[in-house]
Amino acid sequence: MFVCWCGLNIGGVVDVPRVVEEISGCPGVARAVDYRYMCSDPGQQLIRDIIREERLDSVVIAACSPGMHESTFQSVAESAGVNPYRCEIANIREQCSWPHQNEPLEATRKAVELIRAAVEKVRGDEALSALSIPVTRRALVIGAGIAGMQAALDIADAGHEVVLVDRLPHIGGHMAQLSETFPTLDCSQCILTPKTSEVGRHPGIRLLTSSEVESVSGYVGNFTVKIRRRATYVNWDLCTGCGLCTEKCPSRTPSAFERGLAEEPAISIAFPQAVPHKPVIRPEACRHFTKGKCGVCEKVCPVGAIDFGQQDSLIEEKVGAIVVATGYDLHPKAKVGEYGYGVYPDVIDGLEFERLNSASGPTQGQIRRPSDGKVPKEVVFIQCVGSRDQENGYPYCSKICCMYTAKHARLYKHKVPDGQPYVFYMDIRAGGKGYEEFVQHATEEEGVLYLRGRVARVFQDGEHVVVFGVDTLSGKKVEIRADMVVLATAIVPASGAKELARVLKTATDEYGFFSEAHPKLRPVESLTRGIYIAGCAQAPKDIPDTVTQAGSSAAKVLTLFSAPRLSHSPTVAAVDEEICTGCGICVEACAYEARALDTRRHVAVVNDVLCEGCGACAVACPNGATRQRNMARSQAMAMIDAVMG
Amino acid sequence: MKDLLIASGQDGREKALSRFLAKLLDVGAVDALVVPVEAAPGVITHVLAKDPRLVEEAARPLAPVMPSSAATLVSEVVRKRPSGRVAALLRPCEARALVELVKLKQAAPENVVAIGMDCAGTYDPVAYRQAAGNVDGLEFREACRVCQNPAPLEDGLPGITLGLIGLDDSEGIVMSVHERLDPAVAAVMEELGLASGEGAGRKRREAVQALVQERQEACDAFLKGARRGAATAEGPDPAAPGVSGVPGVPGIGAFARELAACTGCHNCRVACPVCYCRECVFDTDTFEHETGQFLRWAGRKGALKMPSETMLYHLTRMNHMSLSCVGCGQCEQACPAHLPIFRLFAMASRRTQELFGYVPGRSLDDELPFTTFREQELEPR
Repeated sequence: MFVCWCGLNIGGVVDVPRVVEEISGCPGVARAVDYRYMCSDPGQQLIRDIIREERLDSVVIAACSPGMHESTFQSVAESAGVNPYRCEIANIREQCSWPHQNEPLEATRKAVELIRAAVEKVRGDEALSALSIPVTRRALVIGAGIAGMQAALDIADAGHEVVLVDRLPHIGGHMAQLSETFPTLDCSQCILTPKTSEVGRHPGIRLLTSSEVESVSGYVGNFTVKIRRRATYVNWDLCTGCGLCTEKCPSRTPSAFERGLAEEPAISIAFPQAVPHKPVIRPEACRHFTKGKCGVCEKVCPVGAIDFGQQDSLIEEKVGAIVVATGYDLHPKAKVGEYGYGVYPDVIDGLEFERLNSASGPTQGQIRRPSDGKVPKEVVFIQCVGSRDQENGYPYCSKICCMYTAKHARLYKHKVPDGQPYVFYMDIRAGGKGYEEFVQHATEEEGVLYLRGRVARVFQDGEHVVVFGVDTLSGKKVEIRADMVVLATAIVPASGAKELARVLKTATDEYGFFSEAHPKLRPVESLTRGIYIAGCAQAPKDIPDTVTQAGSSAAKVLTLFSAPRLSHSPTVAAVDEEICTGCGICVEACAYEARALDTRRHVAVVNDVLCEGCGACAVACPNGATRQRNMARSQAMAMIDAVMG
Repeated sequence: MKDLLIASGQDGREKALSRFLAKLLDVGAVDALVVPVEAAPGVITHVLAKDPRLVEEAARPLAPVMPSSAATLVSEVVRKRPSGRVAALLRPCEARALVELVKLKQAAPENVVAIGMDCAGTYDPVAYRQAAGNVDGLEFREACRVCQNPAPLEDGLPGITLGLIGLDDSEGIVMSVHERLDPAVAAVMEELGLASGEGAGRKRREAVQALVQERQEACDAFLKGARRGAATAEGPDPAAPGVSGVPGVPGIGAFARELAACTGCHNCRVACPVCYCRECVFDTDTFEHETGQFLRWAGRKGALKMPSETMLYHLTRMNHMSLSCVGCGQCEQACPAHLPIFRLFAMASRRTQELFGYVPGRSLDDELPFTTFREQELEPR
């Protein structure tokens, strides 16, 4: 029995010598010792020495959370000849000294109880050995924006096959919609297309566009994924991407890629650099599907690639790891409800501004406002629309808006030198290499007028969009008769993120961003083993951070693929078939599909490698026929008893 | 569902019913039949009958006692690899318990033909035996007096329904065949040459409706009285930690007092038709403690109630069973200490079943709340 002081973290609250004294007399405890830092090399050596001296068969370490050092101490125990699954951690830091900092006496008493419980548990622990499971060395990447592409390229370059799925007909994600990027103002398409075309031609990447993950079963190293590839109504094997069909198509509806600022034919390729450069038919816009006549594209196609009868196809893939890179959406128009967004045509969001500024966009890169095509001479940019807004939006900061607003204002100024941009802001958050300088340049060199304060109202007055706000630095009310307003709307998780999390059996936070295993130390691992996160699927991020995280998730995948087999914890559920009644409640309780009924023998069984050891089935089993290895009912009862004193 | 009539002969409707049941065996509609017989005057027990003559002579299908729940017996017969079609005469509570057992995979429904019958109530089997079957002056059991399901539910296991309520002995029994019953069996039933029972059917339905209404009121009054009784009659135990803030729940102290006389025989568990474990956790080594453990417990509290685990046992059974409790009262009937177990379960299960909107035994399509998860299921409504 080893008690760690953790410097003052534990020792500053809990009376460690007293704890050692009380535990020394407990039944089954050969020896109790304390040390200032048990996780240090001398601390670990102390444990090894005493295990050998006392010929121990099990150990309890009272220290920090098992999430921190359980594996450290398990391997220390193993190196001295104790089965690692007979090493128990009593968490007397997170569950004792930290929350009870002002009650040292009670904290000391609680520490003793927690340790007694761990001693009772370890007395019932079996000596187990780790399970071994095979690894399929192929990866699935969901989402082919910059995050997904980077992860896919890194994994594929290392020699492992990647299945890259995107629900849009083309790859590139939101980055394909951007005009220039901060802080260097280089053209987004110019830095993106080398990546998209590399992904498109990479022999190790199977690209599935217009596709969505429908179901995932299995477990780390051995996932089976069903992917629905929606019908595109164009046979891409035949199509040469000549574009004749898109020219002749008589239908025109608003383009999602252009954020509704331009129209597109029902059969279209979203943008000139799109990869794959093949058209798809949107049946909701197509006259053949809506009215039952037309078929112009079919007539003009020189290779006969149009296939109105094409059906969705279901593709099954076996992979060992999954990277979730589903990206973001902007806070939707319908939900903003302020500033006349969605009501006045000249109130637009950031991505719409990107399209206006893009050389391949609806205005060929000239800044012309949507209502009448005039060049706006006064433009108001409003930051934090929906972000940092507890009441009407989200409490979090969307992180990239300060930077892209500065970029927008500067780009506007470059194209309309006699125009005046105003920026309403709460704070300027420009942490990042070259970021602060970029914003400074906007304010000091380029004449962008920054007003600290919130906008109270936006309304249409004739040709103008009038903005009422307050400049809190001067304390004055401000009225700007603007020609256009650009809102930096909040970044929200991509639609369907929560549903995808359910399919993947992993977790999201309250907003729908995928949860990481540890906010600092395991930022790219999800809460489910074998599933990793990259980019805005986790939280709002800019391009450099996204690319960094994508590379990091690829590294995690490659680590997983580096060994032919994985070890799996043996503390899984087990069934006492003698007393199992075969009621199947455990089967329903299991979230991992690890439980099943053997109908012939009328008993429940466990698939060890699927079992995550959560214990839900053991709790649901009415008579204890299902038990959790090393957490038997008798152990739990003994632990409760120990805590009760 | 067409109403047919099993007409009473000169020897009364129970004999007519026995002949009808015997015929089902005789014509091969079913392979065996679980039915009560009278073993000695006033002694009713179930048999699994194959011989039609035996059924015709000895069956007591209408004997107003339930020595054990037929649901348990049927489950025993058809739990594992069933073969052959087994019919069972089932009171409404027995039929509902059997539905729960099917959901818990303790009976294979495809081999069961449920012969559901109306039941206005049953007597305590001991009193019935002592009176040698003469029910004058006897009162139905408490569970029956407040039973809100005197007639079989329509979505239960497929089979036939026998209607008795509102009809006197000479008026016979209304029989109807469920639409979901295996057509082969249904065809045989309809070939038995029964006359239409439309008039009797209407009369019975009205009588059932009236009785259900009466029983609902009786049950509400009973539960209200039970709660008030538990809360006030004995007074709150000052030493017991109360369950605060929940109206009508008087706390663990009152519960402990109600169960103080428990001898730990576990008969309630044996008699419960839904308690289904092959070996109860309370019979496993989880509850075999060392001497030192007992002494520690006694030391902690000053004294340890013996037999120990009384509270844990009853709370565990309540936790496992209250959602599926059909209110048959077999637990209380089996208790040698005459503890109010039915009353305690009725109080708890009313609440838990309402919480999940679950009616045990109503239909095979209702999912067990234990096996389903809905995000909002425990939020206050």
